[in-house]
Amino acid sequence: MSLHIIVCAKQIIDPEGPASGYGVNSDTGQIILPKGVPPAINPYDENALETALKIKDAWQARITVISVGKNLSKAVMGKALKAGADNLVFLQDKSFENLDSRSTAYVISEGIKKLGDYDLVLAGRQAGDTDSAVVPHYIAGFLDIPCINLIKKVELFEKSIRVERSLPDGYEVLEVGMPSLLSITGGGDLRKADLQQTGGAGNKPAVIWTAKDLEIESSVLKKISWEKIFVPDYEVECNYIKADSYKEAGAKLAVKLREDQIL
Amino acid sequence: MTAFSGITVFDSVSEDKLMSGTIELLACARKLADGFNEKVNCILFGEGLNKTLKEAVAFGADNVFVADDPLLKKYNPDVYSITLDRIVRQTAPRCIILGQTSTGADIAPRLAFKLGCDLVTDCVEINVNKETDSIIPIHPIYGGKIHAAFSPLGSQLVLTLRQKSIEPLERDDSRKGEIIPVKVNIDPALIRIKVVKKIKEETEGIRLENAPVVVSGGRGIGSKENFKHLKELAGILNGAVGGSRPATDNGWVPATSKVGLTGKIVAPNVYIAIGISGSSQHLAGCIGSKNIVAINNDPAANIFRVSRYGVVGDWEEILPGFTEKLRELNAL
Repeated sequence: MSLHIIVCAKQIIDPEGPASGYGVNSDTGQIILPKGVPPAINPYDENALETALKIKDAWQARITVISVGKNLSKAVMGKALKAGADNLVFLQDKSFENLDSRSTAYVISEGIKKLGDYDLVLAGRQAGDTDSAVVPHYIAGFLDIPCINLIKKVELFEKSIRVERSLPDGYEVLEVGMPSLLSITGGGDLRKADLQQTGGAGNKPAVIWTAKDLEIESSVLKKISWEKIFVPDYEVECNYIKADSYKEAGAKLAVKLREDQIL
Repeated sequence: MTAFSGITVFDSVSEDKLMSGTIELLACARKLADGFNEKVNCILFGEGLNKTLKEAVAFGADNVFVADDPLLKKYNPDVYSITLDRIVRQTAPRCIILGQTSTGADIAPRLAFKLGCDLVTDCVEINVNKETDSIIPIHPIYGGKIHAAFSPLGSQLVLTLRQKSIEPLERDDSRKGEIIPVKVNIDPALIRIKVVKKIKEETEGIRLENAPVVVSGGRGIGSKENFKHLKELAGILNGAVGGSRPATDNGWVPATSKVGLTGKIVAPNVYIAIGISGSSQHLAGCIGSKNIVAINNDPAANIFRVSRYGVVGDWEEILPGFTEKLRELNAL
């Protein structure tokens, strides 16, 4: 048995970049993103890819990474191939820019249908830019397959999957058949480039499918629309405690918090 | 005029006790419903529910739809979403609000997909715009660095509300409301997911979410061993120990102790952040705290921007002085 695993990955601005660069242009109302921060694969989707690669370590499997957008970069998304994915599919069209969750999921599900047979679809728990955690459920909805979110561990059997789903006070064990969609939380950082792959699949071009290839009319797609965006103001004045030594500063902090009836 | 009316709250109940999160949802729904002069319906799932139902009314519900069934004692995504979809269709609310919890955040997209309506998750504020007869949810993006208020959405809407983002209403036992039992009837063929077992990993001592004081450590703590100093401080303060993502990823504290966007949301009286730089994802989990106290060796660390008290320097020297002095003061 050879498995076909599809991993959904989003190209976003690297969320590890400095918080200070973000802002809002007061004239246009548009988001200002920090300058010089390169795009990256959504880190949660990297966890999903790593989960797929761990399955591939133990089973005969091929991995297709699929992404939707207007300007997808082979240099950025190609990292998935270098880590060990077999194929890269870009669903790329000017009408695929800034789609809302439902339209994003619709385009991806059409891409998955065009790929044909598959056993598993994996995705990160959420995107590190829009932070909605909705698209995985919607993809499963369009494909009419079961969906389980917040998976931290996947165990595969011949016809079924056993997963561990994170909970605030532990985890639960669930079973589901194939094909299914799993959204992943944790699961380990994406492994470094596979040297064999960098010379082989790592250099493969991405397959590009446009709206026309997928037979998607732009009129059915909806864009995200924000009435107003703003930078939240949490800043307070910090009362810095200083002393001759760090140990004294600690003691002074305790006294200050007691005086102010905080502790 | 829209065909949809009223605000519906959904939550599950365990052991016949309303959770604090449910009470927050009711407060939010009440605010919205009053804005439109409409009713609050509360849908509760669980087994053996009794006094909870009156509590829901006391905290703001006009009608309580209760599905009381052994099938609903534990969360199953299929059973819950199919049952909820059915009840929501009967009541046709303009808005359904769930908590941004492991259950709420899982069931909301299933429900919105079935209903074919708009969905905004993890809202920190939800307002009424009377002029446009619409609900405006505010959802943080880019890990909370920016907040986005959505343009008017469709005539029916599913929302999830971040925990601890609204003050609950005062309990009012004189409020009147109707209790409406709902039967659970599921075609077994529609259940595709099987829940095998639940493993509890709760750490000992006071619960992180309820603790009046939280002592949290981050990357700067450096090791699991070093967390014993934070535990010692938490012990003196009757507090709980938390951690930022680097601390939980490295296994220095359990994953269930993670504070942040993808962990727990806490709002204690005092949040002591030690060796935590203050990424927006971490602040999302603790910004509701009344007083943030930071100890960090980087004077430029973001955490100082949101802290009322701060000490810049090496925590390994500052913390013993702090703990020792507190112990001394407590003995007075």
